[in-house]
Amino acid sequence: MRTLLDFITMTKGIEYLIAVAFLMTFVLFWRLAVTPVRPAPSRVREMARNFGEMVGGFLVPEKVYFHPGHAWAKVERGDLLSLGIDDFGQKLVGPINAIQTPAVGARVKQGERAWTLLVNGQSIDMLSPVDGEIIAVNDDVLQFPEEINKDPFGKGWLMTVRNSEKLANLKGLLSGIQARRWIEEARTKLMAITGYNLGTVLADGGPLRDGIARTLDSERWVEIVKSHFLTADE
Amino acid sequence: MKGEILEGVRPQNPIELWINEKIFMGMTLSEYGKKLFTPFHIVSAILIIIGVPLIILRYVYGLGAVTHASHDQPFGLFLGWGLFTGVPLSATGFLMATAVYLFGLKEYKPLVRPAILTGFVGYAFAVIYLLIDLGRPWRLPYPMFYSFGPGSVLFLVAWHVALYLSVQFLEFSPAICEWLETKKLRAWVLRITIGATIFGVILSTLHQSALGALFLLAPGKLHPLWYTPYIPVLFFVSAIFAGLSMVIVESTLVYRFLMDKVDPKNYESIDQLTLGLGKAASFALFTYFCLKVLGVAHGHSWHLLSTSWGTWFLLEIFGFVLLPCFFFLAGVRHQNVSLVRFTAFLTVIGIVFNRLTVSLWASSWRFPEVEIFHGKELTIVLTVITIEILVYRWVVNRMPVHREDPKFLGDGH
Repeated sequence: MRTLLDFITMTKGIEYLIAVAFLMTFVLFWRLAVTPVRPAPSRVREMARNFGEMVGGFLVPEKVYFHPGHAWAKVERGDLLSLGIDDFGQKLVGPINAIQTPAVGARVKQGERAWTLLVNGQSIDMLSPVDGEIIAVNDDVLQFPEEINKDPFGKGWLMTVRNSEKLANLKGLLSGIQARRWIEEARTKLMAITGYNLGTVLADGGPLRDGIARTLDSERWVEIVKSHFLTADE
Repeated sequence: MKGEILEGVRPQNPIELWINEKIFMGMTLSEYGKKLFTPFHIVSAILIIIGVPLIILRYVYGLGAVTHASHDQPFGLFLGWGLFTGVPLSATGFLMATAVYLFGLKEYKPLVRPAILTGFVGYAFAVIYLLIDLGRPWRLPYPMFYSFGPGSVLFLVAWHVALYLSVQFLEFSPAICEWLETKKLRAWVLRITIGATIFGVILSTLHQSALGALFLLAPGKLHPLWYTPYIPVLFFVSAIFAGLSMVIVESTLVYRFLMDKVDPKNYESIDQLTLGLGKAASFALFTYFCLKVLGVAHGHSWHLLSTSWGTWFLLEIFGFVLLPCFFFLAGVRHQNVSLVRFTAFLTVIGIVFNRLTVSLWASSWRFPEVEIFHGKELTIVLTVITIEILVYRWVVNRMPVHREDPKFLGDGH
């Protein structure tokens, strides 16, 4: 062998060196793969993202369409939309004991009764934000309704509908700046009805034990909720 | 609209009602026929109309009518694509079944059935490609019953494909039972899932590496940069990241084009599952890269890296192995699902590149001209790919593959 390079490349030793190098670099590779670039803890990240979407203490995310009855619709893919209760609505009613929804395959119509909340022994209807055929219901939320209170726009989704004419429906709903203004108005309306300053009620940022409506007026809370959900008895 | 009877189009008997519901997805024949007129189906029909006569031509006039196959270059696109590329890309089934049922990674359960279907269709069509290439399809059962030929690696491949297809059929049969609403049969097949999975892993380990072992039979035939005694191990390791990447590719395409067949509950988890698969694929790619370097060292082939074949080899291991490895790593570290998905497509292209190189071009390196495949051969392959996609879609549209059947919810699926 003429040179050191010949010696290294033409003997078995190089294979052992490659194997050892692989084992050593694999350890480093493993550490890089299992320890991702450290993001903020997920709750903090979520709060940071949500902060930009808060209006007077209520979450109003972008790319979500709001019905004046406080139901929301979000386009998933194609002609599929997911539906749910908005942050104002869930904070208004407080802890939800149970939900009654139509079965998969049933149709919902925009502005008509879609589902019923059972809160503290009272049944409160809500209106559907869109037309469509129900293709899925969130079984987790039916089993654990508190998910709506914890994450109304995420894990708290109620159902998925198919609507091939969704654009016509979505035109009648509120989103973006319009939605933010509408939530401000709803907040103002609530304060006008109850005479309370919502800022002091929502000051600590946590979930209310009994919901805003019951906290502000324990006798007329159902009437207050139904007037916001547009399902007041005539 | 399921089971709804339309005015003037009344099913005459239970069989017709069953066909309307199960085969025509709740539509009548005329409604179903109208729905078939889509650009995709029209293009598919054209390909099939052109391709099927070419397949008949092959059987009537022999391989020479549709390929450039010869004694010097026996492997063509039917084997290069259908067997050597199709089989690693069909490793999805054993990988996901192993992850969920043997390693206990239950969060990947939504991906098991789709992966098993992908694998089953892939292996079934590998048999189709073999039948087209080998000819004399009536002799298909010969290695099983008449003339074993245990001295040949192909004996192992034949038995394995037959057994593994059976295993995959058993693993997928709960979905078929749910579609046919046969509860007792479904309960029985669910009981043998673990056994079928273990058997499937053993079979896959052997036949994935056996495809590489084929090249050990003629050491001088394959170019020294690709030939190594480790080639069976290389084929097995590449099957791992090929299968994982194929699961990502398949889920990406289904969530884009067949979204209404997917359980909405899976929308949230698919991104995290994709990142997990990408992480596993990056480990396999890294290991494969080192094994390739080891193969070059073992064969003392460093000097060949400066040749034109060497450039091809370096493009393969840096562009289609190391680069995807780091892309996967970057995607996982930065939780970038789009990057992981892109890299999965890149990896699949890399597998195609490697397997076609090994089976077709690098096996002909001694000849003055490397044969590119015949146009008719390519047309037949495109036709079979089209039929494969149509079969996959047919099954997904009807059977509970990406969703749970409501009649069997929480019942051991």
